[in-house]
Amino acid sequence: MSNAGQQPAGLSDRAPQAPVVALDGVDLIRGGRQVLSGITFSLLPGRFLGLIGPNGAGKTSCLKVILGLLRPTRGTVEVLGSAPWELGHRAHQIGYVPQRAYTDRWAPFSVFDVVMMGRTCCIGLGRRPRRKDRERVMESLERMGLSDSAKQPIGDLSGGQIQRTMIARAMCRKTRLLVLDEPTEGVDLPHQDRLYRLLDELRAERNLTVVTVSHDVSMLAAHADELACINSTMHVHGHPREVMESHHLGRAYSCEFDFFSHGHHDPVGHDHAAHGGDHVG
Amino acid sequence: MWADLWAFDFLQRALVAGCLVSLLCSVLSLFVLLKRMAFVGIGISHAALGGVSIGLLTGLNPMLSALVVCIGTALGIGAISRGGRLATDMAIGILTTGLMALGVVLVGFSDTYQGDLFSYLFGNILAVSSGQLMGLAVAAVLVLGFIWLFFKELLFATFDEEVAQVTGLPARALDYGLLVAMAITVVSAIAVVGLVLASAMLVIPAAIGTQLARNWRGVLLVSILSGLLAVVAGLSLSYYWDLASGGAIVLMLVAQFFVALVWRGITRLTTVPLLP
Repeated sequence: MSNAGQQPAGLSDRAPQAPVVALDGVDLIRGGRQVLSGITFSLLPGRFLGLIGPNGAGKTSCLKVILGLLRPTRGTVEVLGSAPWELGHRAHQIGYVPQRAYTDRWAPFSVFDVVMMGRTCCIGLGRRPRRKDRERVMESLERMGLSDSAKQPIGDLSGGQIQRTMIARAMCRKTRLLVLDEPTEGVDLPHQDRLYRLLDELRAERNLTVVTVSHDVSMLAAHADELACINSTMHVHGHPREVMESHHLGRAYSCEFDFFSHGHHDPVGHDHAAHGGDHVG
Repeated sequence: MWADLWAFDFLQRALVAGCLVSLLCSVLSLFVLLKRMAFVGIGISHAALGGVSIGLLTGLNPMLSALVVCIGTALGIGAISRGGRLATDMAIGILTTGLMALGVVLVGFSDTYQGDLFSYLFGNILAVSSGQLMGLAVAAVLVLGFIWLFFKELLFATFDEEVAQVTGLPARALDYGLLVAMAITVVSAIAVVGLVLASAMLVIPAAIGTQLARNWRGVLLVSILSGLLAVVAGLSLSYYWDLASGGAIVLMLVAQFFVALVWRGITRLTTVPLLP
C-alpha cells in the first residue's frame, strides 16, 4: 500500500480512519493487453486524489475498477469497505461524473430531470419522486449555481453547465465518494476554475472524498491533496508538489516536464520502460 | 365506419387491437429513441419471418413461434453487442438476415400456406381474432406493467447506463428486459401492420414527439396520440377504400412525421415548441 494520503494534515491525533478507496496490486488485462499493472494506493475520507497520465495510460480504466464497472484480473479493490460490486444499496454513496464530451444535444430531459435521475436509487421501485426528492434536487442545483436553469433542456447548456449538472446529479444524495472523469474537458478556463472551487467547497462541507482523472495537470495540482501518475503501472504518488518535481513524471509521459516542475530540469532518458511505483510522500 | 363499428365485431376487434398495439409501440418508442435502438427494432421484426415460417411448417401457432424467435434474437443482439467483439449493427445484420433466410428456405418446403404468410408479412387488422386480441391484451399487461414498474430506472439506464449501474441499478438486466419487451411488442404489431412494417410503429411515434416537444413527457404524450391517430385514420382508410391496413397505418404515421417536421421548421423561426 502506498503511504501517500495515509497521514493527512490535521488527522494525526485522531483515531485511524478506514480508507474510502483501497487498491492492492491491481492488474487489469483487456483484449489481451495489460492495461493496469500492480496499482496500489489507498485514499482516506475527505481526500482529493488527482489521477494523471498520458493518453491510453489506463486512467479511465482505473476509475472504472474503483467504480466496479471493470473487475481486476488480479489484486483487490475495496470501496467504502467492500468490493465495489458487492456494495448493494450502499452503492448510492458513490457519485460518478463520466466524460461528457459528446452529450446528446437532443436528449429530451430538462436539467431538473437529469439531476432527479440521481435520486432514482433513493425513491424505490414503482414509486414516483416525492416532495423530499424534488427538494433535494433543487438544493443540489442551487449548490451548483444552476437553480435558474432547472427547466432548461440539458442540450441547451454549455459544457461547464453540463458538468455542474452532472455533479449536482452525483451529489443529490448522501454521497461519500465522488469520481470524475475529465470533468474539465471542453470547459473554458473560468468554468474550470469554478468547477474546482465548487469541489473544494463540497469537500469542506461534506468530508467528501474525490477521485478525478484529468489531463490538466496544473489545475489538478492546485486543488488536489494527492496526485498519482499512472501509465499502466503507478509511476509516482504523493503530494502534488512532490509529484510535479519527481523525475518519474517525465518517465511516465515519455517527455520532459520542465513546464510543470518549475525549473527542476530532469533530462529524461529515452528509456520508455515502465517503472515500478515510487511513492513519494 | 363509426356507425358500422357497433354492428360488426371484427371492426370492434380491429379498433381495440390497433389501439393496444399503438399504445405499446408508442410507449416503447421513447426508449427506442433514447437508446438509439431503431435498428434493433427492425432486426427483431424481420427475424420474426423465421419464427412465423417455423410455426406454419410445424403446425405450431406462428405467433408463438415468432415470439420465441424474436425474444431469442433480442437477447442474442444484447449479448453480442455487450460482448464487444462485434458491433451491434453487425450482430443485427447477421442474426436478422440469417433468420429471414431460414424463413425463406422453410417457405420453399411447402406452397400451401403462402397466403397465410402474406398476412403475417403485411398484417390484416380487420382479421384479428378474439384469441389474438386476448394475446395482445396479455402482451400489453406484461410490457406496460414492466415499463410502469421500472419507468424511472429505465429512463436513467437508457440515458446513462454506466452511471445508473454505479449507483446500484441493475442496468444490464433492465437492458435485457427492454429488449424482451421490444420482442413482445414487435410480435404484437405483426397482427396489425405485419412484420415488414412492425418496426415503423416502434420508431416513428417518438420521432414525431421529438419534433413537437423538448421534454420526455411531451415526447411520450405526442408519441401516444400520434400512434392512436394513425391507427384510427389508417383503419378508416383501410375500411372505406379497401387499402392494405398495415400500409395505411404506417403511411399515416409517416404523414404525421412530415407535418410535425414542417411545424417544427415554422415554429423554430417564430416561437417556442408546441409542448415543453
